[in-house]
Amino acid sequence: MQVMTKTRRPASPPSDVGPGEEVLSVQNLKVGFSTGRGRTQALRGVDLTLRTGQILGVAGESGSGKTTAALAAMGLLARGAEVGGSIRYRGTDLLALPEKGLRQYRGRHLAMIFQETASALNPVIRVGDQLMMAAKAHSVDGQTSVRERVAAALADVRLHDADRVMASYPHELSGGMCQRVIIAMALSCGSQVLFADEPTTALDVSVQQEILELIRGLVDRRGLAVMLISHDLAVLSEVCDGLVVMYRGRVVETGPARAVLQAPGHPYTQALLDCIPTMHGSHEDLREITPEQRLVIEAAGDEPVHHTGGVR
Amino acid sequence: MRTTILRRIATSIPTILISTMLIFGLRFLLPGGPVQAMLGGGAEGEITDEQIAAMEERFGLDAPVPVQYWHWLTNVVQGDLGTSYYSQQPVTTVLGQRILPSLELIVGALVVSILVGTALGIITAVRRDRPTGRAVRLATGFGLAVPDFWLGAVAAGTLGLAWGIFPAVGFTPLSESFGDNLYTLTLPVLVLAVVTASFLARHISSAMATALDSPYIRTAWAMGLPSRTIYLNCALRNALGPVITFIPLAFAGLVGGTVLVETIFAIPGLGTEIMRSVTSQDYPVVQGIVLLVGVLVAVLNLLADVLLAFIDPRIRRATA
Repeated sequence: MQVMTKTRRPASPPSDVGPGEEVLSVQNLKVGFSTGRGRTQALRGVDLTLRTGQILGVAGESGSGKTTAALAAMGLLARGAEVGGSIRYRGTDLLALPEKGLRQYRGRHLAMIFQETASALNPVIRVGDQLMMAAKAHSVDGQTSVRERVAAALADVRLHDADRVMASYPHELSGGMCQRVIIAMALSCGSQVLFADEPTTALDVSVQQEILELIRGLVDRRGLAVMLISHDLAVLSEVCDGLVVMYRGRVVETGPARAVLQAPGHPYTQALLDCIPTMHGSHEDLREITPEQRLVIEAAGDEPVHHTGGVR
Repeated sequence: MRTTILRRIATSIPTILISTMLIFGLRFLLPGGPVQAMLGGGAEGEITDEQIAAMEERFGLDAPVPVQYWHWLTNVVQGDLGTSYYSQQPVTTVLGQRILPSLELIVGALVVSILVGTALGIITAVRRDRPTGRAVRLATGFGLAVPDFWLGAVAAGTLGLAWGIFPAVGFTPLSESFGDNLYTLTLPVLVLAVVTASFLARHISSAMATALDSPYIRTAWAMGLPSRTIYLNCALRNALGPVITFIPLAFAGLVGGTVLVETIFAIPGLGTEIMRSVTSQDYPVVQGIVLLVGVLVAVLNLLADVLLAFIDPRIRRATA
């Protein structure tokens, strides 16, 4: 548990954790589900690395396994999932931990936020009580008081009217505010790694921008390591340092975001890029992946991962 | 919150008024009419038309129906429910002697059902895809399917007669001995509680399952809250709504249940009184009991709604 004492409080990034240090490394992650109709292989050997002070974007269509990878790291997969490979958080293999041990890491070290905004908070409990409940679950004697931590976290996510927010119920807040509250919850628990699963998809475009900037700011100031999951390359291209493209449970392309976006190596990445509407294009350019592209992608699907830009 | 309560009280007044009209109206469905019932039936020709007219005049039954209703209602409001045709005692006296055992039965069964049903419901939801959950689910399914008259008879036969753990029949009033009262009521309360507890367990389990699948519970897991907090604080709070709505319904159902259970265990409560008054066409008593139960259910509904608004801020806002 030495790791825990080292990473306890995120108020200021621990000095021994420089930006770019590897915090979470996923190796050869395989996840399978047995259903009534047989077995589904959701992940077929995925490698990912999260670093402090960096945002790793994970792109791919529904069913490509983006969310499954994050849920596996959180230990939140549905019961009966068969998981293989390793997920190391600062040296500890999370997959080897029993549920009780893993719970020590959830919230305190790793947290996850989702697409839902208002419904991701308990509708019948005041926002403040929910924040306090989460922060209290991870409080240790001798630390700053739970209330102070919550207040600091709310300030960190730029919710300045803290008293009013805390006295509100979730349905009284906007979607963007709810998402901020949930991020604050993760911060007040002490999380160093944040899995953000489509955190802006349910929000208005203008609010989307604010939340992305907020996450970027937290990563820069607090040295958080973030895995930002989205089906929308346009969203990822704005804030990510690294980019991973997933297709059918595999990583098909990985590299610095800029390099991947400028010179995609895999036909699937190219197809995804083609789906982004541009200022100059007409509405005819807006399209989904075509059947012809599908064939090319299928053919390329089993090839080794493209390490675009050469950095890894 | 105060406007919610006041508003809810205001809306329950028409409900109660309409139910009093229905209860009063039932009198006219009685075969032979009230006078026939009061005179005790009798063979044809034994009672002359003049006698009937005289009785109708004496009891104000020749007045127009709305006037009769008004008289009856004003009496009811003043606590006068009329006189039993059978015992010639005021209905309030008759009910007063009978209400305590039934209330003990119903409240006892409700408390047992809420405690046991909630616990079983939570277990079923939390362990829904594991053997314990399935076993509890099977048990509550059995509890729902078993008819209470059968269960009552079997319980009286085995636990009562054969094994002698509890008395099979008989009742000791609360005023005589608390211990004996509890002892004689245990078996009937348990029999009554089986169906209600099973029903409640099913309600809680489906509400809990819905809550446990919701995004806010996923957030709670993702923030590393302890499982006890997640189940009992986060999820259960959202699952309480259906339970609270269910209680007035359960109360009404238990009143029906007492008729059977009191008959089986020979308890002198409202249930046996309902049986007696209906078979002997003692209409004022029937009216009194139906009115009492109706008002109690209405009041419970009112309390349930206020409690719901207290628990869920969205309801508070919608009704304020």
